[in-house]
Amino acid sequence: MSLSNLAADLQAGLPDLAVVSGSGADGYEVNGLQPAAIARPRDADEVAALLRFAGERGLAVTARGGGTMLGQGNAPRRLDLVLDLRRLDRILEHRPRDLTVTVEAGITFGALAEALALHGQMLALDPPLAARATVGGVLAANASGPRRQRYGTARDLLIGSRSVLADGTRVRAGGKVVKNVAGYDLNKLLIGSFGTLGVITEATFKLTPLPAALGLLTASFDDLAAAHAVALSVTRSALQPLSLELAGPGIASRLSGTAGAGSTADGWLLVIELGGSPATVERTAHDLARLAASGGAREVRAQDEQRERIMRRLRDWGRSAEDAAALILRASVLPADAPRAARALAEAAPEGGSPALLVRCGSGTVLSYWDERAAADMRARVARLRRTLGAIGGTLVVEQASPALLATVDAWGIEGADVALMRRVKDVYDPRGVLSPGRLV
Amino acid sequence: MGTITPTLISALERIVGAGALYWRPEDLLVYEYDGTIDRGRPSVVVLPDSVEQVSAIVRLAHKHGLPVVPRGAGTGLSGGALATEGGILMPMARMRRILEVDPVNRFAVVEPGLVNLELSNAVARHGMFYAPDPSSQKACTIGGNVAENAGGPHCLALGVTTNHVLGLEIVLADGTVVRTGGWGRERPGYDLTGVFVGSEGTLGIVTKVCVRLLPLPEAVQTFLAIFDSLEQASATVAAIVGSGIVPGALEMIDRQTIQAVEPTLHCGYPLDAEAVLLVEVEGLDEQVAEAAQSVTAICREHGAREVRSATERGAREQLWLGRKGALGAFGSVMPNYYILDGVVPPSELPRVLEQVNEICARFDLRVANVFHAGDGNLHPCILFDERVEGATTRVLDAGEEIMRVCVDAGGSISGEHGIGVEKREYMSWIFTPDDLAAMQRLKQAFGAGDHFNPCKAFPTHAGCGEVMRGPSVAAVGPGAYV
Repeated sequence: MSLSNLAADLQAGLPDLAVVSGSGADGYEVNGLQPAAIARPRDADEVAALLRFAGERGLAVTARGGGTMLGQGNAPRRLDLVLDLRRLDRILEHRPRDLTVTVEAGITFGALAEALALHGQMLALDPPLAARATVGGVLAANASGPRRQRYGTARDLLIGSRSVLADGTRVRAGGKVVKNVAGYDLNKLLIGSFGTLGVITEATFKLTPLPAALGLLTASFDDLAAAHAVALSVTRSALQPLSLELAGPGIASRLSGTAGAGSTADGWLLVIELGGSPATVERTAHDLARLAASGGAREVRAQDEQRERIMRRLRDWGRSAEDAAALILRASVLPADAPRAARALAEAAPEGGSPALLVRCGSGTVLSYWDERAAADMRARVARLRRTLGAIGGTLVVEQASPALLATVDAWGIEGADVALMRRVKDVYDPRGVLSPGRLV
Repeated sequence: MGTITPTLISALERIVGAGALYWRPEDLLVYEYDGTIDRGRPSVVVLPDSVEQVSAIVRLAHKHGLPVVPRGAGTGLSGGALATEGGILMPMARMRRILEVDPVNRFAVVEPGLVNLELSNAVARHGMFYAPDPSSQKACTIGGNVAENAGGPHCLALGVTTNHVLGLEIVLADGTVVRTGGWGRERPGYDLTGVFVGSEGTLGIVTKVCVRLLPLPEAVQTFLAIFDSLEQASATVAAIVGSGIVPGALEMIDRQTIQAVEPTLHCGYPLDAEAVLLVEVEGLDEQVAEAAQSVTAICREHGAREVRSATERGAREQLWLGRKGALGAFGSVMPNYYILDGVVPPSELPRVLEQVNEICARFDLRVANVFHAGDGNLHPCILFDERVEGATTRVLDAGEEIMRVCVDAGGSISGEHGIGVEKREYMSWIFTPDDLAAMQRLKQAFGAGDHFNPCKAFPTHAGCGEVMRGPSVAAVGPGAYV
């Protein structure tokens, strides 16, 4: 069957399914690949029917939600159909008294957050671009944000799921109760699988009460080592900030809006988001201010009024219009090694340039944001960085890049016996390579 | 299935050394049991001391067609550590070292045979602890906790084992050693660690575990609220969960349990109370003070006749005494127990508890409830005397009905004890054949087949034997936990 007939064929095979092709498929490319058709299913049955259709014909399918993380990972080896899940957007069951919610995977994170907030609750994840990002996409990409410091990541909050495997089999894992050890925890496999094992259609989460009070503290430092030492001491203390971010020169200076964020152009800014009861927030702010001051902070400021704006920018950095980056590299090392990773990233920049750096202190994640010029010809530099970071057990992920660069470097850069096992996992769940083949392993 | 030959015995002895394997019937006898009512006799018991030895044993077993069953302390409550199909039982008791403690990056690397509590004790000098605290934590091992994805009273706020395991070293069926996860760092790719935790020893043998450590809280306060009705107590649980406070622990102890523990343990629970709640709040001083006020107020609003509290360690432990020693104390009431493990949404607790009591009354059985109320994790404990004819059958039938009630209430058949032998046939109540087949594919990916802990955790297939059940039903007494 020629691909030009694919949309018509798909529509003939599945008359009720919404299929778009031609100019309607604009904006649906994945890492520069243009699909022949887009399917917009209304429910899991349609997803299953579509995957069976694709499997029988040897087609490759990429599932997508809001598209905020669609560029992450290697370009799929093949792409025929894009499965747009945004019509699966219902909240199926919210049990406020049990602190659980079950939703369809295509609901945006923002819409869900709004509905939950009416009950004083939240799904304690803060992925980038929440207004567009869908719940299924957040799970598939294992997206997280600054608040992982306090609440963890998707694997700590997802308690059940329904998904459709590559062969169209509908599968449930976990359940609707917060504690459950029945069966293998396939939820964990789906999180961070980038849609390569199954298409998530429904998810059940454990919820968290909204903090009664929120606050923001910033502390500016002349050098990274001092700022980082303060951050590490916070992670070892009984204080439990929501977020603990260390913004490097390229970001710290730009965080200062009209009210200013207490930073000068060349320094490091420790941004600490606080949450809890008013008394807890006050006490935490007090202790942290003292810790920062004794740790050599040039200036410590309470910036509660700026909290929302500053945290949104840190969450979305490199991905929103005001600070879009051509390339995002994410280094993962032990929390104590973050300064070494930050230095290595800075040194990898071409003459005269340097990436904007953001350290997620508790998890040892160092994000670096590169402009067009620096992003060109990164191949050798990525390889060098991987050697440097690999020597301390770290990894480097190309989180966002141009299709041209992704064609020359592996987005993940991991090796080891576990990678062989991951390939076997992919092979048993998707032997025909229907779901975004090559995107992950 | 392969058989044990003198050649195999000497091959195993060459791997682990003399004195680290048992094959005489009188030695095997002590490895027949765990905390359940089922039994299974291994063909041979081998205690490895290193990952190399584990790998060599696994390869040898593979060659001889013998299954390998890993075992921690044998405190499990679903038959997970029983060699029900014979083969090689592999207790991890010699591999119990703490290999690394990194207080700065907040993790530790330990061997699977390490006793859970010993880890928290060892890292306390760094101001840290390991969060999952099964009631058996004085005896159970980290490896067993990983296999079962163990919970515990304090998992309400902090999560269960899977939330605290950062990486594993595992030996696959072909003897390959694989390191999963980032060991304190992020690692891209499929979450092999996450899917392995809770796999009940069916996918491989864990030889190292990297666990997250948490800073000790600044303050802890424990409350004991005494109620004249079970309904009031369960309504209080629902109110606390729904209020936005997330206590560290929220446990319920019913009248039957109070009656059993008070005379032997003297924990100060009033004998005429219908239920007591144990609530523990922890965090910063301010946080604890505020939570304390709310908890007290909610308990009183829901009819608590008395609310006691303690902040000092000794006094707190006194309040916990009846909870932690409950199963042991049941021995003074009846010679045997059958402990169930079901989960329901917390808001369903009042209705479900009523049904549990109704079912047991109908079967003419005594039931004591002592459980993790905050996350809806029930542990009805049926007390009986196996010597009474037909008692064991009645107990198992009542247990099955109670599990049905949990499933019908939107819950699950196990919150923390695992499926093991006990509940493998119930799996089809909550999972479709397609769901179960999808899980089985994972065995294929790991190359596990039936090499590890066969016939566990999933509905049995043709090759599985009958499980020995009774007449030696587990007796209660010291060393029994829930």
